[in-house]
Amino acid sequence: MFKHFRLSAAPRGIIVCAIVLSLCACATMTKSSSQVQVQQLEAAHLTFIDHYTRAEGTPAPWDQASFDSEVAKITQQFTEAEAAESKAVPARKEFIKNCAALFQRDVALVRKNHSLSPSYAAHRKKQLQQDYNLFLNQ
Amino acid sequence: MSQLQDALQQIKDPTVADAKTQFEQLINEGKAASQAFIQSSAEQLEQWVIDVSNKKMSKEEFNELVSSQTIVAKNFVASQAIAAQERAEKLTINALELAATKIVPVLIAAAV
Repeated sequence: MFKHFRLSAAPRGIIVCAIVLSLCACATMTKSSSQVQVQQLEAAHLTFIDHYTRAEGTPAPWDQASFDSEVAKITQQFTEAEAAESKAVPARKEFIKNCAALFQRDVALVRKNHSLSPSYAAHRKKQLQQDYNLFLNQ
Repeated sequence: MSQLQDALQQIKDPTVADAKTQFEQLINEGKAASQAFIQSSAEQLEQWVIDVSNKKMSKEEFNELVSSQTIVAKNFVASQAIAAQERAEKLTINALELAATKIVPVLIAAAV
């Protein structure tokens, strides 16, 4: 009586394939959206460096309120990115945490000196790009 | 003579002669390494030392780059196979430590 409700082997196989494929798609999307977020963090940090790099020989104009606001905004971005990372991939969470720490080190340097030398800025940007590439190309 | 050798020439203190030689060797070995990270790390460290010696960058900024690169390098070393870890550590972390503790402090003192 219920035999037409039973799934034959072929449709069952199709369902299993569909589930596997959708799980793969989910994992790909998660990785891809996470990568976009990491790239946004990199861009925000690099922009911050550019913003506080003094032109050779010129005194740095300083706006405490603007600095505080920019730091708060980028810090929030790092916090949200870290929170959004699944605990299933601890390496990604750890990487974002390390990147946030690197950003805070630059914040401390700018807070103290009100600017970064062009030489430091260029080296720092290269260093960050190397760090992010190492992660993104994994 | 390379820019690095020019910079290191400023160090006349005989107590760091061995450190100077060791540092140059680590930089050269790092630059010749097949792994892009080690190569780039050595090239960057070389340029930082040159810029500090030319006063284009402060010691504080140099130390910041070294501390951060040590963190990045530790991640890299950990990602390597066990057999390759010792060499990777020598050419990245050890070179950074040597520069920060032995080379740059004397270089800055010599350049004053």
